[in-house]
Amino acid sequence: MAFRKTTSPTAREDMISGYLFIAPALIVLTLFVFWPIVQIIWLSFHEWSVITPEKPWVGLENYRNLTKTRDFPIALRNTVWLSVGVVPIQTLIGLFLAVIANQKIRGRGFFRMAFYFPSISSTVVISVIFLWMYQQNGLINFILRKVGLPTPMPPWMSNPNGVIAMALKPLGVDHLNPWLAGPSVALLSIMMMIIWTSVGGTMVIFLAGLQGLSQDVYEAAALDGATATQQFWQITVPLLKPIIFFVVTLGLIGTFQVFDQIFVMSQGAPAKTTLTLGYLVYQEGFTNFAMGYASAIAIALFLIILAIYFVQRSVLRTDQ
Amino acid sequence: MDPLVLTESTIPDLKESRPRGRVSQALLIVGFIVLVIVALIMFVPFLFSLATSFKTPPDATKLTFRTMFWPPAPTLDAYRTAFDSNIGRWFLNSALVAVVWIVGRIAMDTLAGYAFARMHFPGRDLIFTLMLATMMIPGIVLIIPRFILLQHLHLLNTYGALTVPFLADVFGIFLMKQFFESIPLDLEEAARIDGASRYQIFRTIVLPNTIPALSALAIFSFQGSWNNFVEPVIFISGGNTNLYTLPVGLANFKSLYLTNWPVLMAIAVITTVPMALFFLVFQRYFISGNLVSGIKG
Amino acid sequence: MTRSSISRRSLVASTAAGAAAISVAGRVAGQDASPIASPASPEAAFAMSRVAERASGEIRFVTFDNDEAQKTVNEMIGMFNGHYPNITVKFEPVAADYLTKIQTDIAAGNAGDVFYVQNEYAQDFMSRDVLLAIDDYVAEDGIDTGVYFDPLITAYTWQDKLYGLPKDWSPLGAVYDPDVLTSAGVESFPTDWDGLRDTLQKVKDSTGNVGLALDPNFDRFIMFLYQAGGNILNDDATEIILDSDATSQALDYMYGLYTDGLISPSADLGAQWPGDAFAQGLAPIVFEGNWMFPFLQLNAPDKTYEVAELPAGPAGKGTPAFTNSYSIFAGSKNPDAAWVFVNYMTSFEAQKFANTSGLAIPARKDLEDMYLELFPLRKPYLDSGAYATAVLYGPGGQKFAGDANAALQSLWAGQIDTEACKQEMVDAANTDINI
Repeated sequence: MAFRKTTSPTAREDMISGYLFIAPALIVLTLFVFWPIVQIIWLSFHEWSVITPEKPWVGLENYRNLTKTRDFPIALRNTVWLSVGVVPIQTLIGLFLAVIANQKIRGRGFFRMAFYFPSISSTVVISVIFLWMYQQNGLINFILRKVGLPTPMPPWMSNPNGVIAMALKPLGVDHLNPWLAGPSVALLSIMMMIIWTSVGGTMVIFLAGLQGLSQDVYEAAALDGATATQQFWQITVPLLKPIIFFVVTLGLIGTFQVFDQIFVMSQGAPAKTTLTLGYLVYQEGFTNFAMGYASAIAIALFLIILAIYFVQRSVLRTDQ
Repeated sequence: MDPLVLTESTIPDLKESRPRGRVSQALLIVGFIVLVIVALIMFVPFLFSLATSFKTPPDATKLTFRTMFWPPAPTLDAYRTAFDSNIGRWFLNSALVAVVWIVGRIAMDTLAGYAFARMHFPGRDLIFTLMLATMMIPGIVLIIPRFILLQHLHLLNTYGALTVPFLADVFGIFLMKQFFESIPLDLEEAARIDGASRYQIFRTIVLPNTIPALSALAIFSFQGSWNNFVEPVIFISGGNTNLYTLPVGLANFKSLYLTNWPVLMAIAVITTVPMALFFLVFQRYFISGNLVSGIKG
Repeated sequence: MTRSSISRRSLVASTAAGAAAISVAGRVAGQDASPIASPASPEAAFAMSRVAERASGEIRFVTFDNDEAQKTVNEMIGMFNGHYPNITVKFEPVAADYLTKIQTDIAAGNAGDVFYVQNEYAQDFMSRDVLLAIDDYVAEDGIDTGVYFDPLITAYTWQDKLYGLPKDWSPLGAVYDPDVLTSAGVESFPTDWDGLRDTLQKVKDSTGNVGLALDPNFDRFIMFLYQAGGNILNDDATEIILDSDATSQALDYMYGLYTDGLISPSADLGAQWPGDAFAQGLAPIVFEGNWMFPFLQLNAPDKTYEVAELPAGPAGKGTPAFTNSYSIFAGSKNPDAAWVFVNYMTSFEAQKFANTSGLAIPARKDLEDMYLELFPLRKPYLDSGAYATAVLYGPGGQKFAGDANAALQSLWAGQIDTEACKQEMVDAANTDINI
């Protein structure tokens, strides 16, 4: 092709074009990402109850209140349980399904599509559907009863009893420390829903990883007489380590921000056992109108996520 | 982020793989059954919600084996009520907002991605790294300052609140940057030698090759905007229902009309069907996008 | 707003879809309607506001009315303009998250000139100078605040100044299925705590099921608190009096009913709220407000029901009052016009029009008779106006309600006992309420 004969781009032209090209995105991001970051840090050192325009400086008081009030530790505890419960299970199930799907099984494409669909559906839609299914006379209890299994009383989403506490009760363990009582049945219901939603996504990632593995190692192992199980644990899993950590990191970051499901299904009830850190930011900011305090919670949440990321990263490094 | 370099080429076509080790035929069958069971578990909630949407409220609460997935007296009442409650408008809003997101992001993210990939200007790497760092910040963390900013700009409870903050996103820029970097430099170099300006190179050589990436970006933006909930529910709080998008409409409908499950399910169905259709047609891009980024999805 | 208890606003919304069946004045279907006889009390004559002579311009009117209620409001605005053509009213209903919208607008300084204020957060707003005191206007136009039920005026009085005129209200009353009670051997609805317990036991013995659907929410627990002579705050809101024997008594009684299997939360029965449980026939007795009736009209129009006052407790009768006011924003740029509007909307003429749909009980005593003629079954509700107490959470008290609910839920789950629950609620009150 023939171009208009112009002088070739100089470094200066490049620079101008460069800035021009990134300008629109940079403006939007500065306004809605960089500036808010600055502002939320600022806001966390002030107090603002929205109704009055004054925003007095309070120093570290909001941060100190994180430990003094009851809600932040509760939200932290719930979020940790959520994360600890959801991430390993969704990772393992995803890996397990991917291994199966990687075999010479008919209709893999169909399965992949079927499993993946929940993860791209609206969280609100899924929350409402599951809320409906978790009703006392809803689908889940219906199936359980038909099969002869007991259903929880109070029913799922109204049950604040910790599952570990419930399991230990018949053994005579009565007043368990709240941190050890486990997620409540209500929180567990939400966790099961989240696992259901995301298992397909993890499966797809693992599947891609499995597809990328070379077959030679397996052939050699098979010749040496290794069983399928041995091959799985000693070849597949180590080779997939980067992907496993990737999935786990994503899972942790995702579970720590859970908000939509709480907003739609429970708003933190019953007895604050489904109060998560993400929802607490909303509650303190937009229901209780303590915006300075809510900002401190938001920053704390971000720092926790950051810490998780760095811990994950260093574990990955030492492994390699 | 340590980007796991799973480029487009390593996905969606499932290779025929040989069974590893001594995987017997029996195990394959068991595996198949497991997959079928799991697939059922994935489908059942959606099927159940679809069935419920055609029932009357009393029927919906009385479950029997026969009527679980098949309404005894199918009716469109729930859908009628949904439309009376303005779901048509919500649908249009969701669609409109999606279009704006897609157009905005394709424009801004592509330009920025190309600049980061190919152009040289002072501060390029620093700016990009700063942007990347913000990818880890959840939306809920920044919701308060964004709310305040939108209030100052008088954009709260307007379409602006649903679109302007999302016109560019770091993930999209990252995606496009990766993609541009994977285009061989030779093509561009050749054009450069011929004397083309940056803009000409971009328009005539680079863009036509980018259609696959743009498609992925478009699909991704559509998915992000259609299901977006945190920001709309807070930025459009209390406005009249004409500004709601589908997820917001569903959530608010639920908090207002507690006992009418069929209508809730009808709204859920109407929200899910477009995404399902899109997904069926553009599967490949959904899944590839998910892999390349890994941040969303 | 915590959603763990159903806000009556949301119930009015849910029934509004069927409120079309209950149209204005006359065509009221349902068992408790009767043809309108000539009104027993003389209609209050309409008096032009004197403030109107100097009022004009536009005002913004922000409310949480849903579609059905909006129609009524629009007609009332039309009637208003018939008397006062100089004032334009811009009606801005808010579909959801009313409280959030109002507060953010207040923060931005552009709240509506007139808006609804609910009793729960009235003290919060009043203590923070969000509302305009209307005593001078009331005096100038010769309004007799005695024409409104006392608890409603009290709800909007702060430090001896009045900050709003009540729009409508509802107490809690007992709605029950007379047939179930009769077959259980209960002749009349119980009038005290022991009688209630007795009745519930008889119903349980007779039907095998729970007699009363009642959720462990603070805004229901409070009825027992009132009946035991307690409250959250003292009369002039200077002290938190939640830490009292009355609280312990009320907790022991309500929780005792639960542990003896005589009452049950609606979720355990498979309903969304007690009214739903009643409509589905899952429980024969509920303690709910006026919002029950439009809901029943819509969902169970053939169900027979009767209404009674709540049983009295050790300290006598008690019931919570839930109400809304027309209030003026303290920062309003057009307070005179805003007042004229408030004056009109709470007048006999306007309120008579507004209240014929039966969605709420009129705030004016002089509309009692008209209301009773339309809905004779609801007499117990009106009678309780003599002793009802508005639910007031105090300054900053909205958070208290959420914390108190959590304490009750823990108690119901058996995680704590009534003493610990009381302590939690008291701690929450001390932390959350700013006195």
